[in-house]
Amino acid sequence: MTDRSLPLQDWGPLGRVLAGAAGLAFGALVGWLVWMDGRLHLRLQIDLFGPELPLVDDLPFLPSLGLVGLLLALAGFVAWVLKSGSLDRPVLGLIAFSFVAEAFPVLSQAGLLLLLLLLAQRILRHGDMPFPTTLLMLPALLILISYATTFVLTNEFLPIIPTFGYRLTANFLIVALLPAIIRTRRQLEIFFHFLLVSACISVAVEWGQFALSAVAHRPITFLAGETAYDKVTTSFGTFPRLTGLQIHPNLQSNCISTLAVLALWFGLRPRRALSLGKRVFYLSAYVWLALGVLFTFSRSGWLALGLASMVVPVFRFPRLAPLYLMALGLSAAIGWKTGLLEATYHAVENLQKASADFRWRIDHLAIEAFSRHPWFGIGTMGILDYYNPWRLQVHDTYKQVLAEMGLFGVLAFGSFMGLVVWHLTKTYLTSRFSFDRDWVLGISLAFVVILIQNAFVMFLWVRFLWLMVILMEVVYMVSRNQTGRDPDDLIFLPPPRPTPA
Amino acid sequence: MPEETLGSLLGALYRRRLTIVLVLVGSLLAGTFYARLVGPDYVAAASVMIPNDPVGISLSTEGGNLPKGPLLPDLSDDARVGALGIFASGAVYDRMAAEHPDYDPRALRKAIRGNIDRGGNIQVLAYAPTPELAAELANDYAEAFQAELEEITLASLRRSFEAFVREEPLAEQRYREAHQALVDYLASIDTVDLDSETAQLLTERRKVEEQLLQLELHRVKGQAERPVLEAALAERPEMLTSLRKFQRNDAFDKLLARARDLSAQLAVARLEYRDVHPEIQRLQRELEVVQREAEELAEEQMRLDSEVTTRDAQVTEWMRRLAAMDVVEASYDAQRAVWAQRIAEIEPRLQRVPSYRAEVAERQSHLASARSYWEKVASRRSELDFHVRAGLDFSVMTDAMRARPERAKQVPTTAGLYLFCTIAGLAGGLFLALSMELLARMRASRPF
Repeated sequence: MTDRSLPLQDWGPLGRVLAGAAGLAFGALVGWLVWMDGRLHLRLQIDLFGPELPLVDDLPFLPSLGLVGLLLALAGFVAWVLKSGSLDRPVLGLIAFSFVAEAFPVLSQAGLLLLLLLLAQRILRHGDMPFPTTLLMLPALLILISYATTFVLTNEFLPIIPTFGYRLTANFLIVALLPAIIRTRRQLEIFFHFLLVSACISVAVEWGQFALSAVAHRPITFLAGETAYDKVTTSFGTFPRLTGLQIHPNLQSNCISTLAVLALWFGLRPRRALSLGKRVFYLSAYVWLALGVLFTFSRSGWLALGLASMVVPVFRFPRLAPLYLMALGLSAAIGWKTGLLEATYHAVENLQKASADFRWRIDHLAIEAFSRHPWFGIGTMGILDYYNPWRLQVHDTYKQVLAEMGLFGVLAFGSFMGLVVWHLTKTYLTSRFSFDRDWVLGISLAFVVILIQNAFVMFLWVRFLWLMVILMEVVYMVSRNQTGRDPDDLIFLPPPRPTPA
Repeated sequence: MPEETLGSLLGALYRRRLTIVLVLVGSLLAGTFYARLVGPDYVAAASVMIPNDPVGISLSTEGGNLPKGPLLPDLSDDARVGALGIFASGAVYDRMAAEHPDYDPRALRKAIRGNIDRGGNIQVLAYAPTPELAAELANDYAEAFQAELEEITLASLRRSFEAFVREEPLAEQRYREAHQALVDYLASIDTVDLDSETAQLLTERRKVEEQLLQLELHRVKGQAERPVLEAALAERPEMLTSLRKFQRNDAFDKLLARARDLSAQLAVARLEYRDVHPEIQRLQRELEVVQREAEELAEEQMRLDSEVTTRDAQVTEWMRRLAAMDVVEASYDAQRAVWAQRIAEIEPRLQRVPSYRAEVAERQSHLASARSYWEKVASRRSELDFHVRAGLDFSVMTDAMRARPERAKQVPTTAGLYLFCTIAGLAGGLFLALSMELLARMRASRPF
């Protein structure tokens, strides 16, 4: 216990009485809520959620249990703030968590709001705030303009406004804010650790969903209303497609496999560059996340994680790469000759063949839309109404850009990604810190997952994709500091003060 | 604010134990206060099953009316949505309040909920201060629900029945009209049975065509055979000796008899006389004369008696055929004209057959459709008449499914109330204590 504990009498005698009274009142409020819940729990459940709520139907004091959980979560958050000495880490953690928990959009809004409040407080306190700007804002602005053309192209723009507003804050704002708050290599590593832990929590939620689904005999995940794709039938039985904290198994697999590849990359660092504890953490996280990807039953996720994981050793151990590639080639040849690869392909394809079939038809629609509207496309989400009997999105991000945003969109996204690639290349070639080069290679390999999977899904506006792009830019921004010392003007997550002797 | 260790956090919580205790006490006091002041409720549950196949009456078969096993609750989404719709409409509350004027409809809405339990049964949950009242409310609501369900379903059946009653004579009339239209049309085309008449016409046309063909064949054949026959006839006589009769020559036969007689007399005379005897001389001379005469007639022993001359049969046949050819040739134009006229009579009638047939088929189709519709309407009307008069069971509530006071549960249970007041109070105290610590530390790090 430190000596810096505050005196017991925070507010003086009157303040203590008032605080005591407030405590009693708060307790009374809690007691009243429990009482009301005890009396009305089933009536409330039926009124709010309808009859026959799975699993919790007829479970007494369920809202009270929820209240306890909420209070403990809030207490934990406050305790984290107290323990870390500021709101910075919890807010950063909340933001990281929100990227792997799309099922709770309120988290991203809350995290962003807390961050803005925190920055406002720091600006007020310091009178200024260093705000490193990035060139990436320019192509981001182009993307914004390209997106905004939808309002001109469509006849019914009112339904687009809420989505546009959400993406404006959730996707574009992060482009501006993340380089401003993550300015050091330490902060970058902290943020990555938060992301990794959040992803591991999301996989833990997957196992919870698996258990609940097994008990309820129906998939219980966050994949709402998608009864056609929420389970797969295999020779081992029917399995739910687990979503973790995401709203779709494909999104979950995309997110956790990207982080898994990064964890594998860092976990295979040379012996002296990584402590044993961290290596165990990274490699355990990789295994844990890979298992999570497996049970999402996302075929594109399996493919992306498999390919990216196979590529990692080539770059991590370049001297052994020829041997590794030969072994890999030999294994592939044996698999091909024995028919194992083909059998595996057919088994995976047959998991959801209908899903594989219909997407080609929508892809064809996207090509047709682009050929007819090559300059500005048919507007964001316009494919839903473009002679599309399924009213489903194009399951190919690249074609989605072509069809919905046209060549102007391609130019905008091309310059967006091109700039990032240029910056990463520059960092890799010029930085004198192995940390930077390690991050450049690692995040590039992790991005392979996103590049592969986006050929089969439509994650253009998914926040995690934008996070990974801006994280690549953050690597460049951080690497610009070649002095080896943290900047003096850090106002977010400053380094810990040296412990007094 | 400086970073803290876990120990310092626990220390802060210990220092703020009073806050935690006060929140806990406040929670327990509030729980106790409301439990004493308001008192617990009792919840009673009654169940209603909606069978998969309502047992009914059928005019056609008993198959659908025989339960295939135990009556099961209907787990289909339609039934569930329907039941929820009845709950949400409030109609059952209103019915219940109408049947029991002592019930306050608003209080009923607060106290009773329609639910679907895990087994898929309709479950009525009633909350009341006493177990007896809770059970009574649950049972009354369940009965009102059954009555509402029956009324809604029967109302639909009755509406259908009334519609069918109105529709049946119209359907019959449409059938009669279609029937008359077909009859009139058949009369207008002068046929009773278009199919058999068409078949007859086709047969006749085929026969006439065959006759024409035969006629042509005979004519062509005759024209080809005539020169050959005529040439053959020219080379053969028309008449032929077909019979000659011969008989023996009497004079010769007499000479032979005289010769035999004279020889006999001579032989007898030689027995008495010598050859120089005149008698013998005379006999020898006479025999020589007779023999000389017989020798002269020797070539005329057979004499032609009669001779028959007839026509040549081959020639006759050829001539007959020639005659037949002449007949054919002579009657050719007349026969051809007759057959051609018959064809000309048949053909137009056959040409009109497709249009007749299409028209008749259409009218027959109208007739069949009208008849089918009439029969269906009549059948459904009869069926619904049975159902509406006899009634149907749309739901089941046995005695065991009725709510009973002894099975009513107390809510909240005393143990549950105090347990959760304690847990929630502790969690709330923890949160408040930590929040106050945070506030204090923020105050200490002024300016903030």
